Amino acid sequence: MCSRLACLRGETRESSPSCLTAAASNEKGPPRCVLVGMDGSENAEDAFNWYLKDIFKPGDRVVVVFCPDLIHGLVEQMTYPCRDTFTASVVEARDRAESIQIALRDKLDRAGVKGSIHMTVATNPGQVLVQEAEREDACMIVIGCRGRGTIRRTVLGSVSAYVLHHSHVPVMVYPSLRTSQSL
Amino acid sequence: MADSETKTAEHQRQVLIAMDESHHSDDAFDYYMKHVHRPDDHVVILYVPEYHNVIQSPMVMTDVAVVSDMMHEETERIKGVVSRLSKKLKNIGGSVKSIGGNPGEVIVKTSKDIGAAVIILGSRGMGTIRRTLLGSVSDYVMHHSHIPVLVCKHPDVHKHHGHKGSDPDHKH
Repeated sequence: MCSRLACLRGETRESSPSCLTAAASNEKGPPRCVLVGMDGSENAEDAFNWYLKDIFKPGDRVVVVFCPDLIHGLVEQMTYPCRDTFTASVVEARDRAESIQIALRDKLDRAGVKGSIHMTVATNPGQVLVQEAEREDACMIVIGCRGRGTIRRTVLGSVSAYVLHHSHVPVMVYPSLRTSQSL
Repeated sequence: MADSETKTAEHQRQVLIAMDESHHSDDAFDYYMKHVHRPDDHVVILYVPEYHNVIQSPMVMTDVAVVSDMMHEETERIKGVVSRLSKKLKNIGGSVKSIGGNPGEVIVKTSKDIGAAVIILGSRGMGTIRRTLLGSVSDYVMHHSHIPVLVCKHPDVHKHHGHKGSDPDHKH
């Protein structure tokens, strides 16, 4: 298993329909690609789960674009930088990203969904999502509305705002539980 | 899990599609039918008519009869829109609602009233104010919705604003 953070592509596998737990609809439409944005946040995972439950159609090819949100763990340390702590944090972040990637692969397999996972570290994850959606000819981008940032000034995170403005294809934004609870 | 015999009314989704007279709305509806629609869906098309012409007319302060006529005209026009939108629901379970007010607020409130599972919007074209790539209405709904929102972007939007975009014959 490659342990470097790089643009990785997971295997593309097709599981038999009998283990399908994802969809309530049996309708198989024309093959389509759906792009799911992941950053490791709970909100993103909820968005993905919702896609599997409510939008997925048999035959869908899912491309999960995983941009691990590393900044928030590392930036906090910059107040009093210490090399050892920093290095440990980087390793921890990397390990966390890997385990998330494994979990994503597992989720796809269990649901019987054909798909791949692209992991990239990017300064502008929104741009990566939009570009990948074009490259993969996705019919839809599925994203949460905010990431793991602890400073919650806005309802809509910077990545979802970027994607909504720049995407050429329809965007499905899943609300954060926190927002809905406060309503 | 996929057994259709066990489906009950409880599993029926309420789908809210906010529409106006623009082609963006028609595109959003078509996209919903192609990519999101499930046989049990109950579709509610929400039309939020705007009475700007009437309310903001200078005649309001002068001739009541003229304003009353304008109101009548608007009402007839809205009936026409509702009728056209109703035709889209032929063969699909659903209804058309026409509710006046601030479009964003009406959409969010209606979504709560009907217990919608998802809100479907075009990205532009709601009303006559077209300032941004992401319309003011979709912006409002995005910020206030507690359920998923599908914003149907249209390739034309980017062409119009001079983006280097995908080909005009975008497949979707």
